[in-house]
Amino acid sequence: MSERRLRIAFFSDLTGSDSLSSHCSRLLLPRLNQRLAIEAFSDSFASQVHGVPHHHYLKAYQRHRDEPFDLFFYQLEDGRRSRFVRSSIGIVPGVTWFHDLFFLDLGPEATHTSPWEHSIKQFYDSSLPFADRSVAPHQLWPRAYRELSLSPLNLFTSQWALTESQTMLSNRIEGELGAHASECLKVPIELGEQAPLPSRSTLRVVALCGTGLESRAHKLLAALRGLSHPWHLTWVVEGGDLRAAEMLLREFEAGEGVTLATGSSPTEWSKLLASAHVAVHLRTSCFGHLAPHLQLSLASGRLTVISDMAQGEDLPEGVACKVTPGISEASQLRSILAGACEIDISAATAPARSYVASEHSPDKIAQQLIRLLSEAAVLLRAPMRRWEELYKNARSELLREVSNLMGSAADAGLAPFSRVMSPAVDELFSR
Amino acid sequence: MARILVLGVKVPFTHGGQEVLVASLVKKLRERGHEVDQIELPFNPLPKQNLLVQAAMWRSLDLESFAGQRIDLVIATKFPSYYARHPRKSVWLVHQLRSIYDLHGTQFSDIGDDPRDESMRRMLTDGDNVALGECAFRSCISKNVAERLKAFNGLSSTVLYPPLPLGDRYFSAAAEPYILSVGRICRIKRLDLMINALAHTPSLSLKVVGVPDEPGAMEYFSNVIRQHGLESRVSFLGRVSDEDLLGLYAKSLAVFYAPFNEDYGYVTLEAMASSRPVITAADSGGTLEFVRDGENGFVVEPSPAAIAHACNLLLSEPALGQRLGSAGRSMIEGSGMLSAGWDAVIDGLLSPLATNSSAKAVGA
Repeated sequence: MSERRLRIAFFSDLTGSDSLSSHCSRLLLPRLNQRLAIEAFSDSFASQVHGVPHHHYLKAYQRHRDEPFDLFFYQLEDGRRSRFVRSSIGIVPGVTWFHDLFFLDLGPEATHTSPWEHSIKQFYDSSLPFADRSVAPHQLWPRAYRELSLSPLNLFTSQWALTESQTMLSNRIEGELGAHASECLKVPIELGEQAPLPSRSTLRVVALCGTGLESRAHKLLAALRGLSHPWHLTWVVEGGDLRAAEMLLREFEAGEGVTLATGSSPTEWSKLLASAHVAVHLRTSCFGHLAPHLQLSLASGRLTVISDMAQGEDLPEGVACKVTPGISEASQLRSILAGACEIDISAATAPARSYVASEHSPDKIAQQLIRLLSEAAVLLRAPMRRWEELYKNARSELLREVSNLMGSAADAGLAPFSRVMSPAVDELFSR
Repeated sequence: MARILVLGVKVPFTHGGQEVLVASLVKKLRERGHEVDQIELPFNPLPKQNLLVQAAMWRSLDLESFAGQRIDLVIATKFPSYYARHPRKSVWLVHQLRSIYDLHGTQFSDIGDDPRDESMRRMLTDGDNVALGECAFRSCISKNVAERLKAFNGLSSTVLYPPLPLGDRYFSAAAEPYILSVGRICRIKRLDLMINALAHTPSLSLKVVGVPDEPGAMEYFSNVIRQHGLESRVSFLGRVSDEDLLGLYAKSLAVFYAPFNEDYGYVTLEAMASSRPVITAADSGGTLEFVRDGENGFVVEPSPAAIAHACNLLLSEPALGQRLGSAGRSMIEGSGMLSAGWDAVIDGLLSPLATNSSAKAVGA
């Protein structure tokens, strides 16, 4: 007899060409679908995505009622395209894979005025009354407190994010998961053939960063300015603020050797890597993520430069060239770039390719995720039943509120009117 | 000749496309000899729980007969009028309660993740499935509305575009340097995009026809105007007569109409009928069924810079505005929306009368 496959509701942005969620879904969904019964949900009306059935995200609850899911899975990152994920997490908690912990995008109204903290208290104590509707909570934290607290099992793209998250949480839905409720799940990367390196008569550098201080572009330009070897930089300007980038180039008198670009999808980045010797990822901001571009650089056989802090700390020694931000940053960078003109780049980058092959293999990540989801489906069964109970109570409470509204009509001398309406309420909503 | 009730929803002290649509439909049915009356109930979405009460209020109405006279057909239009009960019910859907569907999870919805809100969303979705599912004839005012109905409720429908309310009275005249905005003044219409764009187009002014229907909306837009010092270049004209409106369309440089995911938008078609280019946004929904970028208007990113760029193009190339406007007018003339389109609309809505079988009245 064949084993029943776990039914997973898979929420993720699936359409953004430059989103990490979209990248991971493209590589993982076909693999997960071999072992799990997956239905994908996003803010589109497509009927199928990456070989799995797909619906608009609001259909998830109807699908859940028609054919219950064992687990809801969310892939979350900063940006407008993930807003529906943020609001959905508060409706049915599940397993959330966090690509970001800090959000520049404030999110939808539902997250600003969500009574989530009160909902969590009710989750633990069903005798508590519902939140007062007249007092709308207002929370505009850039940190993902709400999303972390509402997810009984949190996964993180980086170890750095996992550690950060553990200092942020105090009150969350835990169920029986306890200390095992967080794990690191790396970004999947396909290790392709290594493209031949271009001639080194000119050192070709590609960088992906914005124009703010935390992007460190000013340090890279300072380093390049002092380089004696001919060089060319292709700068993919994150955030697309080309005017600010041009101003920075003027400041460093670096206009001639630099090409500015704005397209930052993984596919576009891979194309740029093919004609480069060095890839630079110096951004140190806690906002945003370096994946999958950093991992694509590591996999490409190009010398990869990264800042030795925040998300860069995750990488083991020998995989990428690490630069310590600060006063000597430009000279550290310059010596790495000068070295890149001389060294055997293929040999120097072999450890990075091995690292990606072993740590970021899509098959391995898919296996890990299947294991996590299988365990979570068992461990979250009881908490999810309790959450369903909260919804049943909410429905009863709502009907009580509606009766009160009709009761006010009765108080105003409209009692017959209320009596006429009661059967309609019963017919439509009380089932 | 049939006895027909057209069902509308009235938000007191506001006037929008739905009111125009209901009034036009009643007029056209009467012109065809039917005995027609209009039923409107006031709609108040606050407090939120009231949405269920409003739906139940319509459901409580038994419209089958009045004073011993049988009603042959009811035509519902907008949430929650289609909750009314009748064995022969047609719907010409203007829109459902959008805050539980396409606007859910956006800044334009007040339905959050409070478990009671989510319960209400599911209850109203179920209610819509019942009330719209039982209609003997189902149609929508645009492809956009029909696609939402299919996607969220699994119900198919016919698209019947409403013909223009002022028929063949639209005309064009020499363009003057102002942009026209027509419609209710509320956040979802995104007038602020145009006001902010005005800061980048020094020789243009903006004329706004319509009244606010959202608390704080006017204050918000006034702040944006003050921020850029545009007080002398933006005029709010309120509600205007049909004649004035026709003149305002006719002389505008272009018409700005870029709401978020609009249902249909008479404004787009009125602008085209007046040979004016339309500036709309890539996420404006129903307007995109008619506006073609570079052919009869501009479809731009919803940003002030992109809108300003379109305005500046029109200012620097008057021939471009004329070409786009003419293309829009030709499209409208070819579509039958000036007046001939009413036959198709009325034939569809009255089709349940042609059959003996009536739809099962749920719960009756």
